[in-house]
Amino acid sequence: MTSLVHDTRPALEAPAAAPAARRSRMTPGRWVVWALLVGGALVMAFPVYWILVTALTPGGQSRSGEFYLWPSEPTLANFAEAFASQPVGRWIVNSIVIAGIGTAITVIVALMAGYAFAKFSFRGRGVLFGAFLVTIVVPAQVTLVPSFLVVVDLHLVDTIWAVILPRAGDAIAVFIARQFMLKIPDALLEAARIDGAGELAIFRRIVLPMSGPLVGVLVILAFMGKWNDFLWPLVTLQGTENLTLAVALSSMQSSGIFDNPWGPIMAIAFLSLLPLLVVFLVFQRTFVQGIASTGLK
Amino acid sequence: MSTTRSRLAPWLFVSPGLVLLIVFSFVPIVAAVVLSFQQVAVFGQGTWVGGGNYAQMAGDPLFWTSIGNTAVFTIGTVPTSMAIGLLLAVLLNRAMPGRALIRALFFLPMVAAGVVVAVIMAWIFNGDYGVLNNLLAALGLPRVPWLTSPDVAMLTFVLAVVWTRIGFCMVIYLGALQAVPPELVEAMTVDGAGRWTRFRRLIWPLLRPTTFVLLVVNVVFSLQVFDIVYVLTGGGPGFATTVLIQYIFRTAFTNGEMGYASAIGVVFALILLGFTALQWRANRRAEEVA
Amino acid sequence: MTRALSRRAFLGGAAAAAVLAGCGTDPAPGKIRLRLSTWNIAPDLVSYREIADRYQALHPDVEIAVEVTPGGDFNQWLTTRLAADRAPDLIRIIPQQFGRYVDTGGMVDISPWLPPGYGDDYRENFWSIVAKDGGIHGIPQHTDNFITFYRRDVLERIGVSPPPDAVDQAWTWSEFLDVAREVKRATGAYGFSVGFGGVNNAYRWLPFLYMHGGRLVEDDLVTPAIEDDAGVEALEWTRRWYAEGLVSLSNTVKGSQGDTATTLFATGQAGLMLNNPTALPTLQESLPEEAWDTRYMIQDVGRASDCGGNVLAVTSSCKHPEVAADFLAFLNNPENTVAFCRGGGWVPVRESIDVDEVGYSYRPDTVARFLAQQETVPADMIAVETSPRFNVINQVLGDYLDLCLIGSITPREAAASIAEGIRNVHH
Repeated sequence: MTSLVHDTRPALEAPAAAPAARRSRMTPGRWVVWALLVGGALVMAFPVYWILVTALTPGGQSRSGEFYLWPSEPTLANFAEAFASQPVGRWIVNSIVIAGIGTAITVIVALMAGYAFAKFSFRGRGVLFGAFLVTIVVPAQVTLVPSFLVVVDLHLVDTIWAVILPRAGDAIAVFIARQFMLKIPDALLEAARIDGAGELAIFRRIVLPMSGPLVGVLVILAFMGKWNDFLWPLVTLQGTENLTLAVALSSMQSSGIFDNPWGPIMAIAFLSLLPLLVVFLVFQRTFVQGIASTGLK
Repeated sequence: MSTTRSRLAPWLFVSPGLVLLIVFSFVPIVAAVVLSFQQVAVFGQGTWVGGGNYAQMAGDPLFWTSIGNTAVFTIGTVPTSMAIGLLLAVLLNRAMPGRALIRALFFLPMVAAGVVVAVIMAWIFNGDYGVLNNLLAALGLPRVPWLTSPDVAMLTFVLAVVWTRIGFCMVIYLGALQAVPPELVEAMTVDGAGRWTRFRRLIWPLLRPTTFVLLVVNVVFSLQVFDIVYVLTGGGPGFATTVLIQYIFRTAFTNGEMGYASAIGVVFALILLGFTALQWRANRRAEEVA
Repeated sequence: MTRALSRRAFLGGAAAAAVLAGCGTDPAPGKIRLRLSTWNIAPDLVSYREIADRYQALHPDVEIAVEVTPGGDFNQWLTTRLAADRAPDLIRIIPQQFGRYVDTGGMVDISPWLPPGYGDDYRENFWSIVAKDGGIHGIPQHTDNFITFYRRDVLERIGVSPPPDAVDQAWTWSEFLDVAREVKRATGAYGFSVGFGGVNNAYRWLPFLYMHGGRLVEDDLVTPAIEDDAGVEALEWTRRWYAEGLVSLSNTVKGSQGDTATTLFATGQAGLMLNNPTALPTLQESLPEEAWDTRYMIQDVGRASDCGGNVLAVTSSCKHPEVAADFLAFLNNPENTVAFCRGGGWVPVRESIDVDEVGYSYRPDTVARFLAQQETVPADMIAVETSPRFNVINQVLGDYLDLCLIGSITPREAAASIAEGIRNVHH
C-alpha cells in the first residue's frame, strides 16, 4: 500500500527485482521441500498426462486390472483416425476464432468498465457495480433458454456472433480490471485533465500503457474460459463443421447410446490443450507481473 | 470540478459492457425471475402460481439435500484450494531449479476442458480398473471405493475439483506475494522476526484483498461446478453428490419444469449475492482497520 | 499494447468474415434445405450422407445437410432449440426421450405424407412407439436390446456349458445366478456386468421387472403397479446381485459410465455380461473373436429385453415437413435400411429384413440373436417408456433403484418411493 503513494512511474511492472533479490541457498531442508514440490507437481500433472497416455493407447483405454504408466504398444493411430473421420482442423480454427474474438471484446470492455468504476465517482456507481455482480450469480441453467430466445430475436442465430456476444460481457474481468485500475495515481489523470486532454485521450495515452500486465492477466483468463466454454456454444452452434473443440468432443461421447471412441477423443482432447499451454507459457511472465500490479496486496 | 464531460465520461466507458450485459444477461435474468412465479414447461404458456414454486421448494427434501451437499462441497473445496495455493505460492516464491516448469505443471489442470477432466477422473478413480486402485493393489493395499461409497464419493468429488483449482489460486497468490515490498520484509527480519511472524503480521494482511477476490470467485465457481459431477457420479451413489446446480439442471431439462427450476435458480443467486455482500463488508471493515 | 490489440481485432474480424462466408447458412436460391441431426458415429454419418445424395439426385430441388448432434445433455440442447423454433429439421432420437416431444408437439405427425400402410412391415411393438394419438410421429430405424454374453475361457474353467441356443431356452434367473456365483469364484472379481450407463438409462432395468411378471404402471400408463409383490421381488432379486458381490458397485445405475459393463467383461473381471450391440465394437478391439459368444437374454416367468434403438422424426421447427417426411420414407425404405444397418452394424426394425440380407461383417450369429430377441420386448413396457412424462418417471426410477441397489433402502421402500414419484408426476 505504501509503495505507491510516491511511486509515479508509469511503468507499473511488478518489482521484478524482488524475487531475484531473494538469494537462493539450497540448504538440505530446501532440497526436501523442492523434492516434495516436484513430486506434487508430477501428481498434479498426472491426469493430463493420462490424457496423452490414452491417446497413445491402441483401443484407447486401459482395460486391465494391472497398473501401468505407459502403454505397452504406443501408437499414433488414434490421432490419424481422429483426423480422418472428423473435421478436426475446422474445429481448431473455429475455437481459435471464437475464443480470439471473444477475448478481444471481453478485454476491451473490461478495461473500459474497470477504469470507469475505479477512477470515477458518479451517481449510481455502487448500484451499477452490484448489477454487474448479479450477472455472475445466476446459474446458466435457468437463463439458457431465455438467452437463446434473445439471440434468436436479434436475428443473430446461426452467425458467429450468437456464440461470441452473449459471453463477451464478463463481470469477473471487470472486477479484476477495477482492482488494477485503483492503483493508477489520480494525480496523473488530474494533471492530464488540467492540460486539457480529452477523457478518451487520457484513457488511450496514460491508462492503457500502464495496463500491460493487466491485459496479460485478462487475456489468459478470458481465452482459457472461452476456449473451454461448453454450454453456450453447445446450443448456439449448428452444423458439424462449425463446432468448437469443446462441443465437438462432447458430440463424440454419449452415455450408452453408442460406443465411445476413446482413443480419438483423447487424441483430440490432447491437441486442444496445446494452444492453451502455448498461450499460458507466452503470457506467463506478464501474468504473474500483472497480478502483482493489480494491487491485490 | 465535475464538468459535463467528466460526468458523462464514466457512463461512456461503462456503456459497452453495460449494453452487452443488459441485452444478454439482464433480460434473460428478468425472464427467469418472471418464470419463477409460474408453472411452465419449456414450451407453451405458463400458469401463474405466485409464490407456489418457492413454497414447494421449502418442502422439497431433495432441494434441502442438495443444499446440504453443496455446502459440504463448497467448504471442502474453497478453503482447501486457497490454502494449498497459498502454500505453494509461498514456497515457489523463492528461486529454485526448474521453478517455471514446476509452476507450469501446477497450473496445467486449469487448461483442460471440464468435460475431458471429468472423464479422465472417472477413469482414474474407477474402483475396478482405474489406475489409482491398480496402483494400490500393486502395492498390496486394499482398493478404495472412490466412487461407489456414498461417503467417499463426496471426497473424491472434492479432490477432483480441488485439483482443478490449486493452480489458479497459486498463480494469483504468487503475483500478490511478489508485490510485497522487500524492504518491509527485510526490516522485520532484521528486527528478529521469524518466518511465521513475518507471515502473520506483514504478508497475510497485505494479501487480504487478494484473499477476498479469490474467496468470492472460488465460491462462485464451486457453486457452479456441473460437468464433473454430471459425468463422475451422476449425483450418486444415491443422492450423495447431488449438488444444487445439478438439481436445477434436472428440474429444468429432465423434468421440464422451467418455472420451478427458475425459482431454485433465483434462490441460488440470492444465496450467492448474500455471501458476496457479507464478504464485501468484512473486507471493507478490515481495510478500515488497516 | 493498444496497437497489438487492434491488430488482433482486425485479424479476428477478417477470420470471422471468412468463417461466416464458409458457413453457408443460406440455401442456394430456390432449393429447400433440410438438416438431419444424428449422433456422431463415423459409419452412420457416411451412410446418411450417401442416402441423402441418392435422394438429392432424385429431387434436385432439395439440399440435405447431415450434422452431428452436440453432446452434453440431449434434452437440454433439443429443448432450447425447439423453444426458439431452431431445432434441426430431422432428428435421430431414442424412444425413451421421444414421448415428451410428441406430447408437446415437438415431433410432427407425418402420416399425411407417408405412403399408406408404411408401418405394415414394422414389428407392432416398435411401430407403437411412433403411432400415437391417431398420428405417426416418426419412423423407428434400428433397435438394440439386451442379450447374454459369456466368456468361453471362464465357462470352460468352471465346467459349465452355455444354455441351448433358443430364445425360450435361455438361462432362468436361478440358473443364471448359480452360474454367476461359480464365475465369480473363477474370475476372483465379479460374476457378471450389466449394461447400465448412468441415470439417463435407468429404464434398462425395467425388462427384469417385466420378465418377472411385474409392471411399472397399469394400462392407463398413470397408475403405478410396481408396488405389488412382483415388483418388490424383482427389486430384491436385483439388489442381491450387488449384495453378493456378483456385480461391481461401480456398475450401478448412477455409477456406470457408458462402457463400464463392457470393460469389466473385456478385462476378465466379469465372466458374463447382459448388454446390447454397442458392446460389439469394443469387444472387437479388445478380444479375439473366439474368446466370447452370446446366448439369448435370461428369462423368468416371462421374457423381456430392453427397448433400445432410435426413431427418426421431423421436428416442429421444420418449414417443409412434407419434404422432410418424404425423405424419411425414402431413408427408411428396405434397400436403404439394409445399407445403413450394414454400415453401422445396427439391427433393423423392419420385419422383412433378415440377417443374411444385410451381411454383417462382424459376428452375424450374435446379431441374429439380437434380431430374434426383438420379439420379447414387451409392448406395455414400450408404452410406458414412450409416454409423455417418462423422462420424469425415469429419473425417479433411477434415484430409488440406485439407492436400493447400494443397500441404502429396502426393496419395499424403493417400490413405494417409485410409485409415489409416479403419482406425483401426473398432477
